[in-house]
Amino acid sequence: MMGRRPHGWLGARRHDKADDSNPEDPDTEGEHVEISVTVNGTAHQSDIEPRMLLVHYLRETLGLTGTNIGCDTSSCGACTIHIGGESVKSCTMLAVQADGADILTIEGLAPSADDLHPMQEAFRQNHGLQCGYCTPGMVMAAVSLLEEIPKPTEREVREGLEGNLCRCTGYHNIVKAVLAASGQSVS
Amino acid sequence: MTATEERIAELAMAEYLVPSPAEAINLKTDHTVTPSPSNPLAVKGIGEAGTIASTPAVVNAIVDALCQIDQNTTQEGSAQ
Repeated sequence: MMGRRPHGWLGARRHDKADDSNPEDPDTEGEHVEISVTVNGTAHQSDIEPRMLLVHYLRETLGLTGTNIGCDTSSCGACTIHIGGESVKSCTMLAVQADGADILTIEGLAPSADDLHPMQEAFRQNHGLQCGYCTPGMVMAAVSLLEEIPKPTEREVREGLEGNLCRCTGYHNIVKAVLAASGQSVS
Repeated sequence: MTATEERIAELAMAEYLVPSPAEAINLKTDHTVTPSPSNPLAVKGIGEAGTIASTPAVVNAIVDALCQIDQNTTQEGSAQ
């Protein structure tokens, strides 16, 4: 019954919930969509509103509040997660578009409860944060960056993280942390 | 940040621009070791003092420079 559906909106099954539908707007109110996603290795099936953003699904439906919302307009990157190994701003995407996807959030990055991911460890060692709000998104974006460019130059790190804003402008140590995580010595 | 009709004009971070990592420069930090003469403890303030003081300092420098070429630099045109 729950065969693998094509990825994305058209693959999600729509069904109406008559009990909470709004008679004035029957097309949107009360209509739910069923999605199934894998988040940090755990499979989830949820009935959600079609308009729900992926970041709201992660935070509110699944309770994974490590993914922050900084701007809601895809400008700041605080909500960066991985979908199929690639970094994505989860406020840019509807949850239904993630149907069938394999999602990794900051909560699932560390290999175990006692160990940090090398990127998290590098941020810790180099104090790659000030207030910490951008940190989950920065870490997720940085992990994705190193998968693409394993030994980036300082300029490549800065350009690679351009979509992630730190309003403390604490970029110095963030860049240092990413270079350290890539195994390169930092001054 | 700009205000138009008592409202903030920049409604999102796409308009209210802050530096991204690409614009931020690599910083080298250092320490000053000169005691302040202005108080008995010889201590200096920390925090955002540099941010607050730097804007008027830059504006004062511009005003000073423009005064030397007889440019009026205040709204009232009363630069000395």
